[in-house]
Amino acid sequence: MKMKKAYIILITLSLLQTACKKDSGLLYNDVARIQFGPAISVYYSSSQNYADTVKSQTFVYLNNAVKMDTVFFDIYTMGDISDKDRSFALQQENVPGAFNAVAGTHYKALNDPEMLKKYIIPAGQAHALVPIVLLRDESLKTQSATLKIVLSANENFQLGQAQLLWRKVIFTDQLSQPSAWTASASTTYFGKYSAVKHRFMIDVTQQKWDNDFINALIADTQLQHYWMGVVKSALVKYNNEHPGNPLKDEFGDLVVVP
Amino acid sequence: MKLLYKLLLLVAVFQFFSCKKDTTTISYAEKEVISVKGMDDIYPINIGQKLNIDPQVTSNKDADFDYVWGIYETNVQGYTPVLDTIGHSKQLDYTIIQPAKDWFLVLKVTNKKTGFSDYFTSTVRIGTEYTRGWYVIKDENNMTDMDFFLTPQSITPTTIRENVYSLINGRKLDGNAVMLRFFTDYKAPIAGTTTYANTRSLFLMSEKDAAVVNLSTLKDIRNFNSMFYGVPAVKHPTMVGNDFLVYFMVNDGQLHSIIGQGPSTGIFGGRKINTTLDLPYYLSKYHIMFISSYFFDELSSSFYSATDRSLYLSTIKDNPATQLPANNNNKKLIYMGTKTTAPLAGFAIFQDKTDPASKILASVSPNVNSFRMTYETLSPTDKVYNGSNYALLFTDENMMYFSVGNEVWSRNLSNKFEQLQYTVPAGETITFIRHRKATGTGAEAAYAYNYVMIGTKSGGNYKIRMFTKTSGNLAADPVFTLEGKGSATDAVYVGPSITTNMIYPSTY
Repeated sequence: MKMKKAYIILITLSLLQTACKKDSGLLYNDVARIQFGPAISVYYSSSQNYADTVKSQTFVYLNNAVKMDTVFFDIYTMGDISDKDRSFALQQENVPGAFNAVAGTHYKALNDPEMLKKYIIPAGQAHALVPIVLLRDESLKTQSATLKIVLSANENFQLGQAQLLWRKVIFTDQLSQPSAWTASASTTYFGKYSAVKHRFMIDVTQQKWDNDFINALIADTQLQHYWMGVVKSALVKYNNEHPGNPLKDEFGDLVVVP
Repeated sequence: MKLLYKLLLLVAVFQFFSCKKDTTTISYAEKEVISVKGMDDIYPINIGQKLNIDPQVTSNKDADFDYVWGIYETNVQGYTPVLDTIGHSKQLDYTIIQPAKDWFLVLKVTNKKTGFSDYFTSTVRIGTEYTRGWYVIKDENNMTDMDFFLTPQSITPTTIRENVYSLINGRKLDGNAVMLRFFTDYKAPIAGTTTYANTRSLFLMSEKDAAVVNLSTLKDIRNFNSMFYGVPAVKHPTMVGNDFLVYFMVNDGQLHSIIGQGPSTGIFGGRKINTTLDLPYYLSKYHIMFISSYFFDELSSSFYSATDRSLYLSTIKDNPATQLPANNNNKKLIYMGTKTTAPLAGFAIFQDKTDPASKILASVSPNVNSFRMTYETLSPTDKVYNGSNYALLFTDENMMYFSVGNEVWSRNLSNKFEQLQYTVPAGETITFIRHRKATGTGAEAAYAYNYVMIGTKSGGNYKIRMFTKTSGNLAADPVFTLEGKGSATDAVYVGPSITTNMIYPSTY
């Protein structure tokens, strides 16, 4: 009988010992995965989840001696960090209907040994920048090349969210529409994009009218009024000086600044 | 028995999870009230002075108090004010270092025995020598400067500080004086940051130059070369003012703006464009401005409006009942000013471009979509016909003041009655007439005023006589006279009671 009581007390104590357990929260317990993401500064902003999916790059503002330029994308891992460098794998995916970039001609091949050294998540890190080295080929003076890169699984990483497995860079050596010149910016500030208008803006203001410049204008109404006023006045002057032959864009449409 | 033990075991286990400490508290005791005496509503104080407050704090409960004093700024746009902790004892002994303006002082009292806290607030009205007094813009030898008259006791000044602008900034403005404006929320950069803060400031304008200074220090915030995106090729400012939403400046007849309500850098944008054809325009210095703003183009004889958001001047549509079209009316604007704010209305004197002998006095009810003007034709025998230095009594009697030679006349705008109000002494030339007023209560009651200001010059000196009025008619003698060297064109009183840009009308 005493033994029974002892067992009962022992069992009760055992149950009491294990009754409480700290809530471990929602933990990721899957294998290591990898995916692209927004810049680390806006990583926790849900509205920015798909920022930087497509980037535009142009050589047009760079000195002619410059033959290559680098675009960076942010990449993130899921799962435990590692105390060793971990490589990840990229490959090009052709975009139907686009002038797809050619490895070695328009960009340094993703499997180039020099590039492979850079496609690494450093030890102790869960984030890295992915460099894509663009090459200034003559063909870019007349065309915009598209390079779509996609992640593939390797020995270190499985794939992350399906919609975050790719990035695209559209680059050229001719004027191209800055990504900051959005549809909204067209409606509100600058009007329809055309390379002719873009070149005209650059020429009369001696400003780049690239993403940084346009974002600065959108953020400061007074600055925007100044530069748009300069453009507007120059366009009126140009059209007055060319009676019957006003400035038209590459599509044959009249260049208009709202 | 086995079953009993098993049941006991189960009960013991369930009991382990069944009890939870009840942390709710329901008290029917009397609510604690902490009282503070010895804190004033307002503490006027200058930068560098000590703020000493020793309040008496009591509670209806057994108490052992903990104290925290904090201060945070008012009139903030574009960023969140931060509470700075400035004391942890009952007696506050703090040296003021904050910029001159109104701040909120907060005392948090916590009864450590009960955990109950309460907050008590006051306004700390931080100033410098320069934050209260009369400012006069004047010129000598075609160079503009500013005199400052201290008003330590009341609106009547006691002491003059001559040429304070050049004394502090080491330069005068080029050209003769034009106007002086006081702003409460001009955006000035905070030193060492990228933040721009509402700043009480004075805008000085001469025929060829301009500067905006911080009222606390009178140091330049910006000069003409730094107050525009793209410095205009011609330096010829003629007006600066603001409505509820926008700061405007006319330079060389071209209109520039800054967002008034909201984040900005305090830098004027490029000139406004006249339609998509960029038609030429040249705006008069005269304007009507309060809840919205209206300008007159001297080239086309047309009115325009404008906002800070649009690059373009806004064209005006006539009210069907207007007697004078707002566009292409072939008139030259001799004078225009703001008379009332609700509804926004003004008066203007026009001269016909084809027949310069034809002058009219128009009542102006501005509206972008329904602009209405009615007018009376002036006779050469009307004193106002040959007047100059016009001024409207802003929101007071329906009268206009003006000068004819060395005489100051009034015209009743309702019944056309004209009356000689004052004759300046022989040898003096009238340089400007303005009506300004401000209210004040409590400690500021001594600074309330309502004056018609008559500026004159004689030799190398100016006088600005400050007249009260009764039913629109000037008192026989001025309340006081500001006197200094040079020729004055404007005078503005600035003090803590002038809390918004809208107290003084933006008008000539």
